[in-house]
Amino acid sequence: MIIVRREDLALSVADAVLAVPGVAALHPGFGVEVATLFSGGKVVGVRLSGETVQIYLTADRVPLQPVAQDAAAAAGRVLAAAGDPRPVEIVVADVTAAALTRRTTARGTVGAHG
Amino acid sequence: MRTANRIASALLALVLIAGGLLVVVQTVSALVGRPWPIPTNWRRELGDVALSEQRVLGICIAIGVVGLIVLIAELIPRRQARLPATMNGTTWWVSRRSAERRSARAASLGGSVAHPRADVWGNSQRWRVRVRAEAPPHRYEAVERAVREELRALGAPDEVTVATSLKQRGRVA
Repeated sequence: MIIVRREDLALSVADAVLAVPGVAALHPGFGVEVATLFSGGKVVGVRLSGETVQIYLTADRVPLQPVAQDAAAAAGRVLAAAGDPRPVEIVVADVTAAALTRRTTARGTVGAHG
Repeated sequence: MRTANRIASALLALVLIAGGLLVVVQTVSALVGRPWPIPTNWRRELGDVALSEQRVLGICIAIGVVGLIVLIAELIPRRQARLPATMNGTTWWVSRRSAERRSARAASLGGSVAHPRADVWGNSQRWRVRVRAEAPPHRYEAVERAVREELRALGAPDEVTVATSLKQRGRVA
């Protein structure tokens, strides 16, 4: 069994998820903060405690499904490499306003040409 | 609910800390021969209190009311914080507030309505959305189309029920 420090695993998961196109940031959730705490710091948006690994993120593009799918796959790869078999739970906690504006603009442009 | 439970736990912890401090203070003050804040004869005084006394009744009612409030607060169904979406059999989630905000914005931009408000709830099979806004009735279809399109982009299941309520702003004479 591979032994990885919790903070290292959380940071690796966060890095992998943030590298996914469409993920603008990790999100602290609502109410109780979603984070992995360790001495000297925390990784916001990644909760490693529990039966599933929870990841809260802010998306900056729609549709959300590919973003969520890619984020889950990226986190799953990191966990699998660390020997952690837990499933990943993705929560899109926010979508930036720019995503809707871009989509509306694109639709308007298509309409103008059509 | 998790937040409410955390607050309740924090309050309980504070009460226990206060109780612990009280015991420490009481012990130290008893050791120096000046019992404080609880007098040494508290047990005898408490034994003299009859159940029929008003303060006993008042305390019992207060505790009962607090218990009832906690029970009702726990039993009241809360609006879901996140909506389930499915992908290839796996469930992921979208924040309800985010879906509501974006639905309202879609109604505003796509349906050209004023002061839109959206409530979204549902499960992995069906989402329901209620949109309220100020607009003439002929905007109804445009609003519904814009909201459906937005929810589809957010990962809503195939079945989405949209209830739109449009009202025209009253004219000022």
